Amino acid sequence: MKKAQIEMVGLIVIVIIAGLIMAFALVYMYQKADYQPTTVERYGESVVSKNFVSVLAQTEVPDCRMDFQSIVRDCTSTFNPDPALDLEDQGKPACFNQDTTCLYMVTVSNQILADTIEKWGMEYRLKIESPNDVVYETGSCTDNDEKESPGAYMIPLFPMPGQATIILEVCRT
Amino acid sequence: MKGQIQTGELIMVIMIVMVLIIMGLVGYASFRKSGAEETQMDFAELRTVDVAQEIIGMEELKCSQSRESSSQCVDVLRIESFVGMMEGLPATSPVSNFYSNKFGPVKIEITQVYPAPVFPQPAYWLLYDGTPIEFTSATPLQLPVYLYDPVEQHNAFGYVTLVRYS
Repeated sequence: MKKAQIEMVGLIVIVIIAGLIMAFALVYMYQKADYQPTTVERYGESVVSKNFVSVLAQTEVPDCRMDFQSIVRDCTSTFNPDPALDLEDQGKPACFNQDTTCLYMVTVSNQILADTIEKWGMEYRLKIESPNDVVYETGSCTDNDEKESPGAYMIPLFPMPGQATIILEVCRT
Repeated sequence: MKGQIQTGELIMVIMIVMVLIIMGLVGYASFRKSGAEETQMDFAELRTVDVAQEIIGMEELKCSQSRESSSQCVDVLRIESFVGMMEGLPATSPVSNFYSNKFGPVKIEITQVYPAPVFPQPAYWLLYDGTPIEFTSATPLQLPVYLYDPVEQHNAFGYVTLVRYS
């Protein structure tokens, strides 16, 4: 092998080593740029979703003289999925000023979400389901977003069959 | 002349190899350092989670009745009693030392969200303030709890805010 060829091989080896180092540096920088939630954030998201639905269900609504889960039970058990009907006009007129339980289900959940999860800068999706339909849904999370396990609270509709469910998902968009 | 060119080439090659080795070492050192910092941060965050769990389970605050989800229930009268006790204590008292050892550099608050509290009940209680004079970061963590009023027998929606300083 001629001397010039040996030098060419040496140059190629150096270029390969430099390329490898730059590739590792790029991968490392990319990993650093890719945001990973911290332990506290993951714990917070998980506990918030689980605690939130449980605490919400047991919160008293003075204007209706019942707790939130009774309001959900009443609204979901009388829910009519006909799109021509407004959700807020459905349910019993059992609250202050003859307002319906469905109206209070929406306003109370929105008020509490605005004063808590939205204030803490979290993305969420709250769903209230009857055995057959999604009665109410709010929030910006989608099925594809990365999220911790959702919080769910089941409310039996006895003597009717099935149960209503309050589901909260906290996600990272 | 040819010998001088070859020597120059050799010096160039050695310099390039040295630069590559130094770049590799610097990269490796910064990688190790950031890994150690992340581990340290993870431990601090795990401590925040521990303190949060301790607060929810504190006998001084939690509801005494056997209630559903009692682990998320805080008694309003106990909060007021605890706040009153802490306000009257000098910073060097054994009770203050007990809580500062138990919680560390944290601030703990409880806020009532719904229904809006009726005067004279406050909407906010500062349970413990261990904010250090100097700190580099503050990590907040909020936990929803229900606030049980044993006199009125009402549940309100509230949350505990824990801010951990490091």
